[in-house]
Amino acid sequence: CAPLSPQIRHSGAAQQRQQAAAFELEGRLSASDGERAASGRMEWLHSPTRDSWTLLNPLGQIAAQLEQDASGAELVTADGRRYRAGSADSLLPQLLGVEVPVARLAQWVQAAPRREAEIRETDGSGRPTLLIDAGWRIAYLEYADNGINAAPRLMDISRGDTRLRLFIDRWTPTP
Amino acid sequence: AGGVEQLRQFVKATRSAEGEFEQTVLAKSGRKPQQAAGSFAFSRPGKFRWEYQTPYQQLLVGDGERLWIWDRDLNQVTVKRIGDALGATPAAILFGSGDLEQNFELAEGGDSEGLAWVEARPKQEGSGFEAMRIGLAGGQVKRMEMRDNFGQTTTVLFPRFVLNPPVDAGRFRFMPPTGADVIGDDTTKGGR
Repeated sequence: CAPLSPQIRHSGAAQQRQQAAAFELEGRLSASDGERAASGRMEWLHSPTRDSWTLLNPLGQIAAQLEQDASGAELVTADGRRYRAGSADSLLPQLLGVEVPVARLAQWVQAAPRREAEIRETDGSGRPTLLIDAGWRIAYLEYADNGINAAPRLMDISRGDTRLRLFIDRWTPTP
Repeated sequence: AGGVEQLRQFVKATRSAEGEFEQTVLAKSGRKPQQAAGSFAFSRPGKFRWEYQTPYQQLLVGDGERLWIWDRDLNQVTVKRIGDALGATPAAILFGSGDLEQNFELAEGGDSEGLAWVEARPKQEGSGFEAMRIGLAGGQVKRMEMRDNFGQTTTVLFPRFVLNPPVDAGRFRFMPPTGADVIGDDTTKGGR
């Protein structure tokens, strides 16, 4: 992978990174809440009004699909069961095995956090390598390339026993 | 012989196997097909190695008790009890315990594309896939097609399939590489 520019640990000059309002993401993840562990592939279509996740098991079968729009969220699992909720936040644990705030996740996967988040460390190009946001710790281990606006490629999201590691194979902003 | 008879013979005659696979996943929605390929080996029951080389490196090892999933890019190993995880999954056809018809309803699927086909429906509710077709020729599994409950079809071809080769047991043991992060719902993290 593209070697990161030299790791200069400073929390200053975090370059302002643009945040795409809508994107398509394909990646692999593993998630653990300290007891159970799940791993697989994820496809995520995000826009301000709609989110749709598809989780596939390591052998390529769809394990679950979660859709969210203004009217609420619905999760359908491989065995055909349906779950509804006001928002995807409460259904995400059944999809990913861990509870992660969805709206924040859309910012974290772009390493473009909201202002209140604390960028604790950055790399040589001023990109975040460690972010603290509402008690969550997001470590950016790799970026797709050395460009200032490169998308993160490998990241660890954790809080307490909850851990999610995501390798982003493809990330594309959509109009 | 018809497909069902050939499959029964295959399951009875195959103690172990090794070879290569090509997998294509076609989603119902317009998503582009996902191609993947790699190598496999198995020793019935429950021991297998399913190694993706492309599009990325991922290794699944069943050591008879636990399923290890190692992803190079994630630099992480996930381990879980196999238990009946194989039960009524497509993998069970290849490396599950001998009694196939305990988990599947088998029916003749006719002949086409030079193969004798078997329709296999999981007997258990909630097995995660709707139907599966297995294409055999000369008593060997050549192709498997699985449709899940989301209308997605996975096709697996076996360009190379060696029956009952000498397989050393070490291939079905997994030791997490040094430095790899091991997570799982199994306390004993070391391989055997």
